[in-house]
Amino acid sequence: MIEFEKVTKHYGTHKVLDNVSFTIRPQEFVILVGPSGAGKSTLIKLLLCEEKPTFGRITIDGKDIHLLKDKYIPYYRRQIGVVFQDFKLLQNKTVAENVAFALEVSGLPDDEIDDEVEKILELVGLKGRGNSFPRELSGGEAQRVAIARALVFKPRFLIADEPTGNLDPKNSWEIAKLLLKINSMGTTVLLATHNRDIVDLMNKRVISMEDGRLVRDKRRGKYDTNYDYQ
Amino acid sequence: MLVFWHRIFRSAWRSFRRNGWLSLVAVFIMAQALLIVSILASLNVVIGSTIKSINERIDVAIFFKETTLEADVLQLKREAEAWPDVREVTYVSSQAALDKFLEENRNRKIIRSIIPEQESFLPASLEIKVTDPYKIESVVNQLRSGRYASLVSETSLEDNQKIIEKLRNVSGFIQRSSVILAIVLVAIALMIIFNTIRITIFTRRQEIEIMRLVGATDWYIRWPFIIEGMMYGVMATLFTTILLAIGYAAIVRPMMVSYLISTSGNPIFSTSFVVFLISLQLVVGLVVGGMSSYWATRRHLTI
Repeated sequence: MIEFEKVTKHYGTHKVLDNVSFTIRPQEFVILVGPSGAGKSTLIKLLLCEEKPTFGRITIDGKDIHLLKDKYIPYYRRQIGVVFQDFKLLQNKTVAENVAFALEVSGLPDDEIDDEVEKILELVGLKGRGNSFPRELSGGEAQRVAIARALVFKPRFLIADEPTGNLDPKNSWEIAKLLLKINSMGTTVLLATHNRDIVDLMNKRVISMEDGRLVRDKRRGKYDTNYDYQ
Repeated sequence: MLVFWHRIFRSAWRSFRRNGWLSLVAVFIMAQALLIVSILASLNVVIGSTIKSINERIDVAIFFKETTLEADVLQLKREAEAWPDVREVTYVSSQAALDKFLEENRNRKIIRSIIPEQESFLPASLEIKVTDPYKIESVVNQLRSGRYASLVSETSLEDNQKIIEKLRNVSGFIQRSSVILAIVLVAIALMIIFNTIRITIFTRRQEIEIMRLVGATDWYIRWPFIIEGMMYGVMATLFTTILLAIGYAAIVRPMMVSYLISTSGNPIFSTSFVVFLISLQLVVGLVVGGMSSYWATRRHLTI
């Protein structure tokens, strides 16, 4: 259970999040929508402990994550998978090495890493592509690699920040389906997106943000046609 | 834990190789600093052992004033022979000293032509051998303070002290200037390694960002950079040791053979000194390399 309690974040005098409160239940699929500058990325940064809220708190299972000591933050982050619009893959490493990289950080022995990588690549539909380099992949495949890397620690939460931003509609929907599949396997998913078709097709809870405030929270939401989020 | 260090070292080594010329320059500057530090340490040993060998000459010569009567000198000789620390006393008369001098210079015609063969201008002396080199000073003091003090003009001990004094002055000067040079070179090495690591951090910023995202600990990210800095130290030590070995074989040893810097039979540079020198270089190299990269990670690595 992730709880945002009256979270406010200032950058200098600029208020990017204003008194945001909501709860994400275990194994829920939550879509976060809103125009650029609405505060979606800041919200994700707070959740990753990259930034601290100016006021309010964010708790996971009742524990305030910003009270964690710096040295525990890396271990906390291993419980949260994250993927981005620009994939953030290392170009000089193969697909398998990119995924293995995350596991190496945790100190897992090499042979166990190989097994894990193989399993996870199969899960995201990239079986047999382990030796390809990122430049040889399509956008959709690259995002699958990023998702695979995010999943290696079997995280309880997966955060996807505009994962389909660089993809065509077909690939976008493939990624969306993959996220739904991961959610159905028990991982809580928080998806921040601009993609109207996906929001409408998924028929999941939608939280809308604007100017740092939470403006709507619908259990079975559609993309709000009153706003042009682009 | 073993896996952790294996990965840290692998990452550091990869980065070291990829930096190519940058690594080479860092190693080269560090090697110069280490070379100066080593020469400084070696010089200390050479001068130390030279001073020791001068002090260790077991005999000392006591020279008498020209007005001294031979009978007094012989009387003193008999007394000195009775002292417990004295092993042997030899009387060298004024004429004997001249004969010896002429004999030593028999091939130098100019000297032979200006020096009269009969009228000796050289002082008479007693050559005293002591049982223990460290007793020389007390024996000389005993002579200088006793009844015959007024007869003695000077002793070779004083000559030795003058040489030692000169050696100490020279070595002091060399030491001071080398210390300054070493500090400057170490500072340059620090800055160059700092900069190399800074560039490495910059070129690997994406990798570092991803490492943070997937939950790498601070030290997992930081160690490879510090190890890379230390590798510059290790490489520089290797390089310097080879250079020193060549320098020793090519310059120092031939010089020692021809000038006999040390008269004691032992080699000046003992094995333990060589071990000490290499450890000194390694410690300086590791500390300088490790410190400057740690400093770079503190300044430029946002974790």
